[in-house]
Amino acid sequence: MSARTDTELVLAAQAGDVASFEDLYVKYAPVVHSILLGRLPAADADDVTQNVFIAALTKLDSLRDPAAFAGWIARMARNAAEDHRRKWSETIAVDEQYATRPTQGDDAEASHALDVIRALPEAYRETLMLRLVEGMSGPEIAARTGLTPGSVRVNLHRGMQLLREALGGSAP
Amino acid sequence: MNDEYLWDASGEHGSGDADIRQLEALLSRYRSTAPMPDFRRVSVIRRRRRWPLAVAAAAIIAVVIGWALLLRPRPGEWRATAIAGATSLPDRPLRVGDVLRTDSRSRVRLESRSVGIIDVDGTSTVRLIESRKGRQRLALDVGVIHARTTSPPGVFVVDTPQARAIDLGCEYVLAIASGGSGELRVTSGWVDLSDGLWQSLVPQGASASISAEGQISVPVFDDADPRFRVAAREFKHAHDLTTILSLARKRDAFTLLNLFRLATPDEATRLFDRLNELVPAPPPVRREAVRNWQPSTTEPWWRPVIAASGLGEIRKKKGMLDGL
Repeated sequence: MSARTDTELVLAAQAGDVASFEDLYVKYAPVVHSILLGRLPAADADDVTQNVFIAALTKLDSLRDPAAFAGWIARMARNAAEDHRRKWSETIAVDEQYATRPTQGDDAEASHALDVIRALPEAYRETLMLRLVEGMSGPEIAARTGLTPGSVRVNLHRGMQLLREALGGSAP
Repeated sequence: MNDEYLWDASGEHGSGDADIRQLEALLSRYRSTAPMPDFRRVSVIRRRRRWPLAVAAAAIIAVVIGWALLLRPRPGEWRATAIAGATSLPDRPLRVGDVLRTDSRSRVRLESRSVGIIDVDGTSTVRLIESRKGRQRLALDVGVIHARTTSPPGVFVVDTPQARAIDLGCEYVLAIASGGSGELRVTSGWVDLSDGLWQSLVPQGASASISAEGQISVPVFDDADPRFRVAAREFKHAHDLTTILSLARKRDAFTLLNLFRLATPDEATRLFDRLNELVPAPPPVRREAVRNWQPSTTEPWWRPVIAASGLGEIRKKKGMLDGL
């Protein structure tokens, strides 16, 4: 992964350096994916992740503060998830289980654990997704979300506590 | 419980974190597997945006629009331009008292930002007789004007030798013959035509005539039966109610309602019966009351009749219906 700061990468990408934007993708795709996975079916999260970054590249000129890229891309991901859900709700009958419906072939246990995480408050949900799904450490999560290490530690601890309680006897 | 493994994800924290490791193993299947998009293609599309060209084009458009705005008449100011033939026109805004005359081959456009566009046909005489905030008044002594207005209702007024047309937000043609008789035909919106005593609210798709004696007819839809149109317009003199009642369509209820003011008590009763068949009278309107008709007698009938005639709501200033 690039050793350059977000500011350097964004400024270079705004100047037309595609490789710099690819570095941003490598760094932030797990963040975007985990945000989407908390809101959409797993099968859609991959596609929408790609779409978020394509949209981000076309709108990159509008990002005035390059250092704010992490918050900007996370906001785009949350909006994209909402748009995706709205489009589906407009074209198909509303399915209350849409976000949590397991795809065929999903392991029931994994699907259940994912459902429980999705039901957690947003702060815990996104942090736990990054930790347990994307395999990132607490310091890495802090670096890529803009949260303080202390906040990440609290979110992980409390989120895990809630997750354990919710999984209860069916805990893996 | 030791959650250090939860924090740093290193493998140095013994077995107290077994459930976390198990969850990691279980949930890792949901990691993103999507390949990185080909951003170079997206980038090419992005760079194709020609911002400098767009900015230059916007600047040119702004200059053109600005120039056009400068040339436009100011609010309340009338400018006359020839659109056919060669007529002597002032090269300044019109002043109150100015008279415009067109010959048989010329046509003139009068334009005012606060009113709209008035095209004057050949062999016409038009005078500007009032120009102030909230009121712009022309006199059409003879000839034909085509009015397309954007002003609020009641602002634009045209006086003819025998009548007055008050624009209620519309498009219309007003033709006046040398003796003062004429015709108003409305193609959009409404016009209030009055002769000093009565008024006719003429809706789009309808016409009303002005007699040389200064009496205005009831409004009649242009798509009504020709015999109905003649009988309705000449009702004041001919009183051919049988033709009118037998040929009236539901849409013509609007004309029938206007005829009460010209009807005798017996005719008013017959009008009530036919109109009641076309558009049932609302409860406040009673059959016996129309024999002694006053404008207020049939006032509650206007709204259902207007709706039945496909005219929608009258959008005009409060009080403009007074006197109907």
